[in-house]
Amino acid sequence: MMKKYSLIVLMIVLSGCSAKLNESLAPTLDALLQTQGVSSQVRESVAKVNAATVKSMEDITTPQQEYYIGRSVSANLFGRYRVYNNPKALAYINKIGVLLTYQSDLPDVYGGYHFMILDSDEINAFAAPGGFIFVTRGMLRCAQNEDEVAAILAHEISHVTNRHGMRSIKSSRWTGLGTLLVAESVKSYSNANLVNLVSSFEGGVHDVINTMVVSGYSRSYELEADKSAYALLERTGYNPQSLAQMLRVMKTRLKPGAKDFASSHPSADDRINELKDTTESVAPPSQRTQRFRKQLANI
Amino acid sequence: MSVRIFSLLLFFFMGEISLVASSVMSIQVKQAVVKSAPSFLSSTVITLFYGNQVTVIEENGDWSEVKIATKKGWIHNSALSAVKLSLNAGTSRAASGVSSSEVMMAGKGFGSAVEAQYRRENPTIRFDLVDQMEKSLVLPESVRVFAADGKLKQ
Repeated sequence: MMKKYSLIVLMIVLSGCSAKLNESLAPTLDALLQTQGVSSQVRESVAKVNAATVKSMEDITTPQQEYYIGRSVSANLFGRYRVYNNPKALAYINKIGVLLTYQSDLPDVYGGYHFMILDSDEINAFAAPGGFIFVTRGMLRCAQNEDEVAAILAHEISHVTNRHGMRSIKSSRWTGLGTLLVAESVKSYSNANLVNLVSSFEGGVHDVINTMVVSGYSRSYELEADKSAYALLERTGYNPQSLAQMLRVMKTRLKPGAKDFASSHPSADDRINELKDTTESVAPPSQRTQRFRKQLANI
Repeated sequence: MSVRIFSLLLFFFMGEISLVASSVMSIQVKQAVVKSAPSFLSSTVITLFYGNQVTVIEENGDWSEVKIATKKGWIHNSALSAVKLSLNAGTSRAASGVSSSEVMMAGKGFGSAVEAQYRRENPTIRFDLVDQMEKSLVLPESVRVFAADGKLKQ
């Protein structure tokens, strides 16, 4: 009887806690119940009740989990696009990208930020969770100077720092994962749990790929990424007006109906209008212009 | 009975309070650099790895001044977790004598074991190119020079 009361009180306490708190305390709760001689069957039930309050990505993801989702999303993307083999151009965009991440709100991701050029004429760019960023040759050809390359990368980095990829994963997958995570505090993964985990993982990877490549992020996420990118360019010393300038150039080059940036993003006019930045971009210092021409001249 | 329940709840909340208030933090990324000043472009004091622990001396915006043995330096808060992290799940927990209540295990949830199974089920997906992508490392010193040459903020 005493144990039952203790159990009920603890469950009430947990129900009053935030979902994040519940997740972090699940192992503590399990250990506590164990000391009270509560059977493993009941402890698992408590774990399930606790897990049921885990409803969103924020409740349970860690940088490490974002990294593994990002790796698989990237591996899938490489099945759709070829890699552009140009070490100098690659080193150049990686330096611009990493410099930008130093000023971002999330400079330390689990495996670090990495940038890749895709060998495609499409005007497109992608950001997978965990800091895997891709830009096509077609997109880089739209850039007229280094600051505009930085604007493209800053927009994609902002998708990572705002965790837009992770947020595109259906909430039902997080609830399933939450249940399994808490269950693991009771016992090691059984084969059935591993199968369920892989199924949630595969579903999550599919959700991110589908959003990134096919349907696109919501208008609000795109505008949020533009706003973050503008601030990031400013903090790094690049001309923030280069973002609007880049959009103006893209507007003239994007083909209606093509499978590219236009199919998965709000219109350039809409985005320029939201940036409220109507001034023309000024040319960057000669040092940046020279190295831009040297590294990306033949892109 | 009420005393017992009260003690139980007190124990429960004290555990949480110590978790939040502790100045000992864990590195939650593969590698993190401790810098001589709160800026990625300052010199590197030491490189730390996932699960390493640091003692936070003070916070300054997004950065924390930390102590590791005899060394001191600055680390960005995004590299730190209040949860104690362990490299290995399952068996090592018992072997190290660390209780599950104070450890968040690496690989829990979507980790290497899940990726390995996903790869077995999807053998044509190009993880080799992801591994290649991850090899592109940019050293902070080269970024500092790049920023200086391009008249960018440092």
